[in-house]
Amino acid sequence: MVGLSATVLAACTSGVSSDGTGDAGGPVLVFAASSLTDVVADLEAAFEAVDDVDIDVSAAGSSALGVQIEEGAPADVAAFADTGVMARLVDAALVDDPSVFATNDLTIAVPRGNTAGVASIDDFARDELLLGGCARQVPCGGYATQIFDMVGIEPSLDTEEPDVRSLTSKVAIGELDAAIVYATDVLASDGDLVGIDLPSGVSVAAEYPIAVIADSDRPAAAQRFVDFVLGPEGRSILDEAGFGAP
Amino acid sequence: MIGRRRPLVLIALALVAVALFVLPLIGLLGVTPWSRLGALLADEVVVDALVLSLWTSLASAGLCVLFGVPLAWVLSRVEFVGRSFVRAIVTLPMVLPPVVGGAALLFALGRRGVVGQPLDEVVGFSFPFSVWGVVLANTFVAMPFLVVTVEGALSSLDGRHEGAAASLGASPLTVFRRVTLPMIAPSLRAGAVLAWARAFGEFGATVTFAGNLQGRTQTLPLAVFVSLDSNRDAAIAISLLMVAVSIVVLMALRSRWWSRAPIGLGS
Amino acid sequence: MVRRRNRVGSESGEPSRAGGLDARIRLDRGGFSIDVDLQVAPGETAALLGPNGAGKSTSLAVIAGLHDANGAAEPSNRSDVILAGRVLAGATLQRAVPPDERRIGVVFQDHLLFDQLSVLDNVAFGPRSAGLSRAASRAAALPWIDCLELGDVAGRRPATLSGGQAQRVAIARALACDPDLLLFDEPLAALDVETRTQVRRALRDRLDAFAGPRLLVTHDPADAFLLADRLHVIEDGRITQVGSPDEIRRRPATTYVAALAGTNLFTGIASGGGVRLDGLDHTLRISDSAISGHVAVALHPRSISLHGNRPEGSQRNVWASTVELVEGMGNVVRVTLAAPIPLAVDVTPGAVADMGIAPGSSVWAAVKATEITTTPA
Repeated sequence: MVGLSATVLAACTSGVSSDGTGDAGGPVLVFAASSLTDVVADLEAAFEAVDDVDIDVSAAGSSALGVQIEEGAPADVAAFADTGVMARLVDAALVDDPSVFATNDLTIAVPRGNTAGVASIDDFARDELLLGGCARQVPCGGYATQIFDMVGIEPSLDTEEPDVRSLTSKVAIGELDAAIVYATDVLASDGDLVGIDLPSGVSVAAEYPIAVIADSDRPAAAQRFVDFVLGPEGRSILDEAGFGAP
Repeated sequence: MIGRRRPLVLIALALVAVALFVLPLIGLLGVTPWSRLGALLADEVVVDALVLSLWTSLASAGLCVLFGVPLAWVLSRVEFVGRSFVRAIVTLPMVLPPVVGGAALLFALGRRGVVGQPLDEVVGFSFPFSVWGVVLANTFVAMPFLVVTVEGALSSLDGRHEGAAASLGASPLTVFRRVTLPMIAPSLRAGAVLAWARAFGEFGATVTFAGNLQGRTQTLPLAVFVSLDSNRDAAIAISLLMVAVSIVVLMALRSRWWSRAPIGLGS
Repeated sequence: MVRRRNRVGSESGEPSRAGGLDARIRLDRGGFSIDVDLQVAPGETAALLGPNGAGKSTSLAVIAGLHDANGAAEPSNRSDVILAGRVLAGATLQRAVPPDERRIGVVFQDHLLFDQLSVLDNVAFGPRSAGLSRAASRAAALPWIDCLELGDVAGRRPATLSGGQAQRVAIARALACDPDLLLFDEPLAALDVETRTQVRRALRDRLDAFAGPRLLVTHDPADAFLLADRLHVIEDGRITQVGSPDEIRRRPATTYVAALAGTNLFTGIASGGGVRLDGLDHTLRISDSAISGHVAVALHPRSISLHGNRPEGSQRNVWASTVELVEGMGNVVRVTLAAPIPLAVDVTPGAVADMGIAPGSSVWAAVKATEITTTPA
């Protein structure tokens, strides 16, 4: 009796949570790349069903999230669309030991109906079409630049959106005729976007790393979420959303 | 100034307000990479954005005056059914988040928009992703400032000088041109400057409606935003540039233009 | 009262209407209604005289077409206005002629000059609005600048002018439009006493020279009596009396008119402590021996005493007269005297009874020189 109540007393006076792991209370804050917006919501729901930890998600362009973490944002987990941003954080000792949890392909997206009759990547050189890409500083924009270089086209882009979701929404409502986006975005659009394959041999493997932030005050809970994502349940949710295996 | 004693409380509160404006400026100056500033500002991204920002903001201010002054006149002088409703929706852009305004513009004037689609089909012109989209988005968010300022000035006139002008044979348009406008000139100037300032700093509606492309739609605020992640020094340099341009413009308009009461009264 | 030079129309006959103003003002506003008939012949100066709130300014606004600053028509306005043969407002018109087409020159109480324009450009405003170029309109304005002696201030802004100068600019500005009618709204009310005299003189000269009808709206009987040929007295939205200053004074129709009339205003030439009254064979002795030239003299009805026999005493002015009219007005009795000086005198009922004052009786009138107020006219 004394032993048990001693632990309770210790928990009460030290303010730690009752799981005794040394974590602070409160939700786990996950910074996720824009292209993960829908799938991370599914991961969140599935995780919260088996663990009593609360997950909060903030989705934005990976580079923007990276800067926020560098400036001290209180994130616990970071999941980006490109390893470059993560490498910067590793160099600054802000994250421990990232792992790649998913891969993604890029593809051409056109609005339902494809009224502009876009057929291939070559159409991206056509001036009269309204074409979009991500800003080059954002992973999606970087990948698109690689693709255009591979194919050897000078694209006639009309806008470079700050994140991929702004881009997909403009294609979905028909304001843009085509854009280079992630394959998973087309899948998540429920038919508003139609994908057109890139030429065979032209592909860029976008690698998605995930890591626990070094000075998170919920490291144990954060690690449990990362493990969940890397584990079989996380894998099957990612597969369904169209993300490839690492 | 009447009276020499000034309440200390007012001065203290005013200092707090000044701090609110000055501290971010000091923060900005503190992180500025002074040694690289010249090179950063000479970058063609910055030059393109500066030129674009300057002329689109001026064009927007001009459009605000051209269309906003008549609107202010109608709201203040003509009684019609639904006047309070019109007054309310004119001030809507001040209340809505700019991104929402941009989205609304997209749904109305985008290529697939309610008005934009017929426009595109008939004339072959659409606003989004063009520099005219920038001007339109800026005008949309800036016009309420001009309309509200000018309508206030017009409503404070008692109409007697206009009556005198009419009795001398001036047609209503001549009265407006030669009597009304000069009488509200200080407020009109203040409203135009406010509208320009709002247009110059506009971001959300612009990026949503006009997109972001260097040289065509990437104004200074957009350039800052896009640089923030990858090239922080550039972002700081451009921010400093915007602050400098704004201070130069606003200080160039001498303070007496701000505070002069409408002429014609009390003389 | 005295006859003006260049007056047109007989004292009690109907003035000729050709080219003049014919206004029937019918208006309801809130609980207040106006029903006024007004005719002014060309070359005639009419005064619309009444207490504040009587409807003078509203009537003027209806005639000028300015009854609503916003230009909206007032539904209760059923007025007819005819000027120089043109119908400006009335049932026959779909909509009333707008003020900028009425060709009426208005001089406002607070002059309403345009502060951002120079004096010259203010006066040139009318011709410029009529389509003349800037140079031509300024040339058209110059004669009026000279006429109203504004040459020294022609290049200045209204804010730098004195009250009197500003009002003269307003007069010049109205005249420069070559109007069919001159309307003056309390033109001297905002001026101090000395300036008022100056501007009144300028006004009188200009009015005499203007060939069309002129209407002066005022609450000050001195202005009305000294400037107008015919007075239209307005009270509570109705005309209560029309007539020449003499008629108004002799036969006041209401208490208000009687009070106006009772101010006993005369003009004359002063010199050496005496004033030779215009048109009357009498000289009044006044206390100011320095004043000379054209003056206006006023005698308050209560300052005049009546006697059965020639009185002795210090009064410098004593004369024999005949009683024309005796009227009870509350606790005083107004006795109107005839030649040599037509006067209203207020005495107590007791005095009237004691002295047996009745129309036709002879009395002696006396007034002290110090009781007579004299102002340059």
